[in-house]
Amino acid sequence: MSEETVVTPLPYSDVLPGAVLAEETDLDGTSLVVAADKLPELARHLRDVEGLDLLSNLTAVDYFGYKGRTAEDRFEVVYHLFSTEKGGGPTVLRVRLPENNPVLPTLVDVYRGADLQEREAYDLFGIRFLGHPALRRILLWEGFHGHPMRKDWQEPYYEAESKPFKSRHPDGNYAWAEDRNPWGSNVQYPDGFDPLTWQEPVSQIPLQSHAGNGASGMLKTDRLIVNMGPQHPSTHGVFRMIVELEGETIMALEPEMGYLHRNHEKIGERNTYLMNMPYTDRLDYISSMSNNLAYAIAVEKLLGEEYAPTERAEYIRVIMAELTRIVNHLFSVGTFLNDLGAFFTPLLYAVRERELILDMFEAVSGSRMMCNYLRFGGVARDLPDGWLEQCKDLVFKRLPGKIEELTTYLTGNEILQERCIGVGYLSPQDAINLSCTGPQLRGSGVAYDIRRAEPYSIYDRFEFDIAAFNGCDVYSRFLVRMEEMRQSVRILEQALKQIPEGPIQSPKGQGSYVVRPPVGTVYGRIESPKGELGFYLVSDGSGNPFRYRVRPPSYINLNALGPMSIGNKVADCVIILGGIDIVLGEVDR
Amino acid sequence: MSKAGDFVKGAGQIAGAMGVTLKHLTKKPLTVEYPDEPAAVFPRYRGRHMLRRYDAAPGAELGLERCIGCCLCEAACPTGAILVEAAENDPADPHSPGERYAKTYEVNLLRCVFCGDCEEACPTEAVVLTQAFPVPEQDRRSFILVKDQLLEPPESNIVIRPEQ
Repeated sequence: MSEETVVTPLPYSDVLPGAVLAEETDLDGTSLVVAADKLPELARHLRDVEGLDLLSNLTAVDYFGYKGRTAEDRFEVVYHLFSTEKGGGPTVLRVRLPENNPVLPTLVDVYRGADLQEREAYDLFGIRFLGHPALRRILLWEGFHGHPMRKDWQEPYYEAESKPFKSRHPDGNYAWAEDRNPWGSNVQYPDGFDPLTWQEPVSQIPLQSHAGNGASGMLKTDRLIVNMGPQHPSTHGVFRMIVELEGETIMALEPEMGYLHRNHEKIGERNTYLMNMPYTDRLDYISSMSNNLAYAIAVEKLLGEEYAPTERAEYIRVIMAELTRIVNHLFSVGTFLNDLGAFFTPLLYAVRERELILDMFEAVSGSRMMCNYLRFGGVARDLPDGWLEQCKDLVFKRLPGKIEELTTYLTGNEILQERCIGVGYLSPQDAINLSCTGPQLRGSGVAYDIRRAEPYSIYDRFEFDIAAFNGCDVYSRFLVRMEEMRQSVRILEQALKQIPEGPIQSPKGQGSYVVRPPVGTVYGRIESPKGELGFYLVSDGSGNPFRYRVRPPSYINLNALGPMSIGNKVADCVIILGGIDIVLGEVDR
Repeated sequence: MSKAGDFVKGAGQIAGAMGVTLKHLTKKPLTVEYPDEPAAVFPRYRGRHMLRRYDAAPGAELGLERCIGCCLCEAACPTGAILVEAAENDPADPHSPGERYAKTYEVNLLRCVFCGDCEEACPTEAVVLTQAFPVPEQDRRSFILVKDQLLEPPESNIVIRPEQ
């Protein structure tokens, strides 16, 4: 045999020569290194010809001080593209950028869903996206100095690179951080920023301006900008919508967020892998078990086969994840009815059932909401005696009836239908293009569910239907949630019957407190109740993640809030937001 | 439909709705008047911390402390709420069975998120999360539990539910 190596041409070199610079193999598949200037063309080709229509995850990584990286390729912007039609794994694009001038063209023209994520990458990393319609800070305010996710940026109360922090008890006594470093001396503003004279630039804010005719019927009305939130009962937390109105009609709507921002991702880099588990509970605090699952799946991908969860653990995980889905949808439907004006009665009906499920969580994990239950390679503790019987009682006998009860009272309700049908229209093409996932996407008739498209855990063993309705409005999203609860009950029925006896932890994972995964990157994702929840992890071989990125479904679903609201009445933007089902712990991170 | 038919149908619906209301009048409320009435928690509930002791030897008043000052809980704590300082045991009057014991053991309840990782990391099952609810305090310093407080079993008005 000759030693001749066959040079396989790089992908897409025939259509776009020079676009793909290299092909790399990583822990979870291959990725393409793309030239920055050819990126929009390549993305357009991938979207239109290859059918990769969903830009799911867009994030940046700062490889400062990473082995084998120099100032020339310090920053990397990573894109995860999926196909809603074909399903399957991601196509990963990487763009490497130099330290002194991290600039690349925007993808907003190709995937409008890139909007919020590009702004986030700009905000936290200082990477500039040329051509982005409004590249402003999003999670932080304009008076923030620096870009906090850069590795060489240190917070005012900086203690150490990784935990445990030894500096808190200098002489045996507890030292309060703010005594050591009082407020005022730690505040830095960007150049030319004066906090006393600074005013929030309200006028530049509405982005998606609608070409209104300036007159509705006979009356000429002025345009009015109204702030909804951050303290508004409809926004489910501290979230602000800047609404431009003409009469009562919404002409433009801009979401403003970041009031609950705590830089979860930076905290995650200071933590060891296992320490992040309780932190993930606090992302989407309604469905903490799902967050645990997504994170565990991502880290297990990183750790490899030895940490694959045992059979029983997989079943426990699925049971917990599906119970969480029911919890989340009950709560979401309840608060949605609150937004509609059915004040608290439906919510209390929903919360009563939720409480029973939370009791099950408490019995297993010791906490109703902040479960911290999953571990790498299994779960923290086995199910207590009699738990399965209790759970079967709940799932087989009680829940189906209660879901039907809610359906009887709500689905056919005339007032609900009047308010919801046709409101918040989002066409299937737009829903995909705006990177929507979860009930938002399926409410637009796109039957894309990660449990089917790229099955994780043991979801390929269960029989269930994807809940999808093609009304494309708020009512469809509501129907999707009701139907998903029924499907979850179906999955639970199968899982509770099939769950085997056995160990709950893989032998390697047992008691391994500090894990040191091999060098590499992974992206693990699940279908969380709100949409695609993904974790993108970069490991440098140490016990702390080098980069810990959360792909938050409700944050990215907010891309569609503006486009959906335009043309509706101002009262409807409340239920459109309720239909997205956001949790601010996850939106702001 | 005729007016009379409408009326009968409407009256029937109202009667049905009132029936639901009246049915709930007879039911016991689900709420518990904590702290006057005890709150029910599960055995695994993660509440305030406690440092356990071994059973007392015959004749002795208190057992030895389980904590050997290994600081694993401190290293495992995601929020940095725990401080342990170890010291050598005096062989004549040991605090714990090992060579070392915890001279200082502090838990900052303002930082603690009650995740239970300290409990899992502990090799001697010394630090445990009891079912007791943490008590509200007036000033920040009181939220830092010192070792003497942690060695006492906490008091709280709770009943522990049967495992299921």
